[in-house]
Parts: sequence; structure tokens; C-alpha cells
Amino acid sequence: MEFLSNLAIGFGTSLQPANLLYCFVGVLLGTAIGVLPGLGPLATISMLLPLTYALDPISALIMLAGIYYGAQYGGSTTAILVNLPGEASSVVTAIDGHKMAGAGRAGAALAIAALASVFAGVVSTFFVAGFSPTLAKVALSFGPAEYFSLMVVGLIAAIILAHGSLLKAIGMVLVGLALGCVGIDTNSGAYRFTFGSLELSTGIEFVSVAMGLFAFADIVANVGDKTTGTPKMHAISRLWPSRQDFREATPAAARGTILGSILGILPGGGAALASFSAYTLEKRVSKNPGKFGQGAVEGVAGPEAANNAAAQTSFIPMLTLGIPSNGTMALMMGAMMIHNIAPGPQIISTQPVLFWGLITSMLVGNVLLVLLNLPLVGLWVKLISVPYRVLFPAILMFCVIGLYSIQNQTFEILVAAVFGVVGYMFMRMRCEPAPLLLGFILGPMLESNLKRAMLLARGDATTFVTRPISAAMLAVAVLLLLTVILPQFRKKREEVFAEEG
Amino acid sequence: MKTPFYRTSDGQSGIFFTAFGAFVAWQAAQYPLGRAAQMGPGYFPLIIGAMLVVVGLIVMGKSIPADASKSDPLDWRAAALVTIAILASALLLLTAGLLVAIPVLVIVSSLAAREIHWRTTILTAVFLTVMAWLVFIVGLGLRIPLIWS
Repeated sequence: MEFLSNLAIGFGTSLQPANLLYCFVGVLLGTAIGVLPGLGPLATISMLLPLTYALDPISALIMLAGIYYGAQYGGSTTAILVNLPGEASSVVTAIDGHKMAGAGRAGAALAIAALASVFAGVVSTFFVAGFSPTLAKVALSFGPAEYFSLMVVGLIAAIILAHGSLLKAIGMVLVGLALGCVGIDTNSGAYRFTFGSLELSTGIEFVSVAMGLFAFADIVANVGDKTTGTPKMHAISRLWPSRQDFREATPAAARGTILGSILGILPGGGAALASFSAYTLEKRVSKNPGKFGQGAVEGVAGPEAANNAAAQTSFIPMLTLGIPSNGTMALMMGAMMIHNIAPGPQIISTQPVLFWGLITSMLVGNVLLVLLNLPLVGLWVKLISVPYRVLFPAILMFCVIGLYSIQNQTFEILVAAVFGVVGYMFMRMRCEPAPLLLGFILGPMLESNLKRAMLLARGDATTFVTRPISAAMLAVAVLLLLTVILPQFRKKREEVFAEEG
Repeated sequence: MKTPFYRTSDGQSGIFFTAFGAFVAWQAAQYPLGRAAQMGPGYFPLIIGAMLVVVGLIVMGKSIPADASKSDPLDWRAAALVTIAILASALLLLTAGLLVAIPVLVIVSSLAAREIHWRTTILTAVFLTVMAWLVFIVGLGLRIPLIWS
């Protein structure tokens, strides 16, 4: 019954008119920016984050969560209509969704994607609500050694799931960890890597890093080619799917939801991994695997359900352990810290209204999403066809003023400009920037837990392997690394990424 | 002819990791290191920097024998113009005001595009300036001067 009373507390907050409004605005803006070709959730959230500074923490989080799943859904819309997926998780949707659109069934594909998403969103919200308190209870017994090992597992998982070269992903995580050291060292009060700059003494602003790497770098890379012509789009005729579509889509959506919910919790997991796995699963269970790639309804429903479920459940480790499992969650966590909320096992007991309000708002937001998206699909289509030469100055404007608004100073804009150039270099060197962001957010926590663990163990590094939970986690990390080094799995990993590229 | 390793994307990233790691380690070594039980501010970054050097050297080493793909041509023009546009708007925002900074941002960054449509660019500049004023100054109440005074 505790479960129900918790949900009641949550709905008491999330259904307040003001919060409903912020949820609505978040979903609306998230979708509006997310449908723009090339803008994935990371870029969308970092762009819209400054709009939430003025709100109180709970409203801000509700709005941000809305922006997140709005952006995710917006990306799928673009993937279906113009075959321009904004980020990894909608790449799979583009395969069959765009084929459906080509066959004159764009409306049905969009509706299936929306319904599968809302179904997964609602189911996985209960999953989050049920699972988080348990995990938080376990986490309360964790000491610094366990936290350190857990973060190592998370970082290694993120490395393995990054695109392209493993070594480069390791390098990027390390660069992120190094950047996280900038500023005053909390233990000693020493200034590190500040080079005499007062602004750097509080560390590099993570919004600057995110906007530079994801928004500015992308503009530099695309401004040359994308400014000519507009994407070709398929017309939308009938929105409602046929009965046959429903019959095929429903079990796929259910499988996708379960798979996505599980994969979302895993360190390094999240929407992208979930949608790929769901696609593979659908292909495997199908009686007629040949139709995948030709416009299979299951190929839209399964991955869409999975990526939304995973997007939702990836909040679990972030909220209850304070450990984000992927780049997007790292960004969400950074946003929480801006509002002076430290995620972790205590959050459920110390901030029950905030915690349950946020979780129930996910359910509300998903319902709003479907109510909003199907009628407004015409508007999204118009947004997709906004030419890039108008779009990118708008992105720049929002980013520049957003960066200014963080501290009411222009220093953050300059830092972001630097990261824009760096991010462009990374793109050319085929280095995925998401692991860097994860390392950057986890860096300070990793360091302070390492210090505390070593202090408690009086400098004996074996503490990480003699404490059973910590040892188990490190064993998982080693296993993960081994699976990648072993040739068989390695081939598989390359196949998956080849399909995507 | 083989592409020299410093022209490949792997080779370049290896060089970057090594150089950045060496810099981090060198800086970190200037701070008190402490010892394992009582780590000073330099301890953790020194380890990270050293690991980066190792990773960078391996990446570099692996890029030498393979006839790896040459890295894509660099779009210097776009990189420079977009960066200048952002930096200029940052400098102008508080000194010259929003009504100057945003048009400068839009117009300079638009020069980075391959084709330049002046009409669209001017209209976009006007539209975005009005939008920035409405959203950020009127709506969110940010303290940005409209124009220098």
C-alpha cells in the first residue's frame, strides 16, 4: 500500500495546474526542437535547459523530463518522415518507419510510434516507481569503495556501447575525467587547472561543454552542406493504423517495453541500446523476418516502445544511485545539480514530493505526448521543412543567450565556443563525444569516492576487491571488457554498429 | 601511396590524447600529490593524465601500419566563421546590447553557409532578434541591455 500512497503524493504534485502546464510546455518544446533534423535529445535538452532556471526545482525537473521524451519522440517523427534520425535511438525507427512512409503509410507509422511510446511510457513508469525504492535501500549500504566500483562499471559499459573504436572511447572518458578536475579541489581547497581564471575556479560549466560539443560542433560540421536544399518529405494521408497493424504492433510493443525497461537500468544502457536490441528481437521472433527493412510494423512498434521504456527506466540509477548511465542522464543530473538537488539513495526519503512528483509526471507527460503529437503532426511537418540556413542561426541564438543566463555572464559562451571547435575536431577524428560528457559529470564523484575509500582503507588499494559488493562490480567490469576483447563478441558489436552507420 | 598516420583520424586522435594527457599529467605534477591514503589535489589528475598518454600512444601506434582512412577535409571557413560569430556576440551582448549582438551572430554565422541568401539572412536576423527580446527579456526577465546607453 506504500506504493499507492507514494503515487498519490506524486500525482498530488504532478497534477497541480502549474506543473501540468510546465509538463505540457516541456513536451511541446522538446518535440518542436527534437523534430528539427539533426537535433537529438542531448542537443535539445542543453538548448532548452536555461529556460528552466527560473522555475522551482520540481517544476524544472518535470519540464526537463518532458523535454527529454518530447525530443525523443520528435526525433522518431523526423526519422519516419524524412529518414534523418537525430540520434542513435531513432536510427532503427528510420529503417522500417521510413519504408512505411514511402509506401504511403506515413500516418500509420507515426501513430504506431506514438501509441507504442505511450504504452511503454506508462508501463515503465510503474516499473520505475516500484524498483527505485528497493534499489535505493540497497544503495544506502554502499560505502565509497562500492560507489567507486559502480562508477567504473558505468564508465566501462559506456565505453563498450560507444560507436567506433573502443580505445578512442576510453580516451574520451579520460578526457572528460580530466576536464572534471578543473576548479577548486573540494578536499584541499587547491586551485586546479584554473590558470588564474576566477570563473574557472568553480569548474567548467557543464552546459558549456554540452552545448559546445553537441550543438555548436554539429553546426560547424553541417553548415557547409546542409544549407542547400530542403529534405524531401513523404505526405501524410491517413493517421489511424489498420486493424491488421494493431494486431502486429501490440505484441511487439509489449516485448519492446519489457526489453527496454530492463536495458534502461543497466549502466551504459539507455534508449539507443534498447531500440537496437528490440529491433533484433523482433526480427528473430518474427515468422516472416524478410519483411523487416521493407516497412514492417513491428520494426517501428518494438524499437519505439523499447527506447521510450529505456528512457524512462534509465532515470532509476541516476535518481537512486546518483550515477547517470548515459550522456543524456548525465545532462539531466547536471540539471538537477544546478537546482541544488543531489540525486542519490537519500532522495526518496528526503525529497519524497520531488521524487514521486517527477516519476508520476512521466506518466502524465507520456499521455500529453500522444494527445499533443497526433493532432499537431501537421505543425511538426512544417518545422521539419524549415530550411537549415534559418534553423542554425536560431539554434545559435538560443544557445548564446541560454549560456549567458546561467550566471549572467558571458564567460560561459566563450567556453562553449572553445568546446564547439574541440567538438568539431572530435567529429573529424571519429571520437564519440557522449563518453566525454559522462566522464566529465562522474569525474568529481569518482575522485572523491576514490579518496574516501583509500582513506578508510589506509592506503590499501585491495579494499576494492576485498569488499564483496565492490569486488562483484569490478568483476562485472572486467567481464564486460573481456567480452569485447574476445573476437566473437567483437564481431557482433561491429555488425550492430555497421547496421546503424 | 600510404596516408601518413598523422593525416588519419586515428593517428590524429592518438596525438591529441597523448598531448592532452601529457599536459594534464605535467600540470597535476605541480600540485601536492599526497600519498595513496591521503591523496593530494595532484594525485587523481596525474593518474588520469598518465592513462591518457598510454591510451593515446596505443591509438597512435595502431594507426601507423594500417592504411586507415584519411580524415575528412577540414572546413576551416565554417569553423572560423561560426566561432567568430559566437565570440563576437558574447563580447557585444553586454557592451553593445541585444539589438546588436543577435544580428551580428546571425549575419556572421550565415556567411559560413555555402550559398548566401541575403534576403533570408536579414529577415532571419530581424525575426530572431525580436524573438530573443520577447522570450528572454520580456518573458524570462533576463538582465541584458537592449542597446548601449
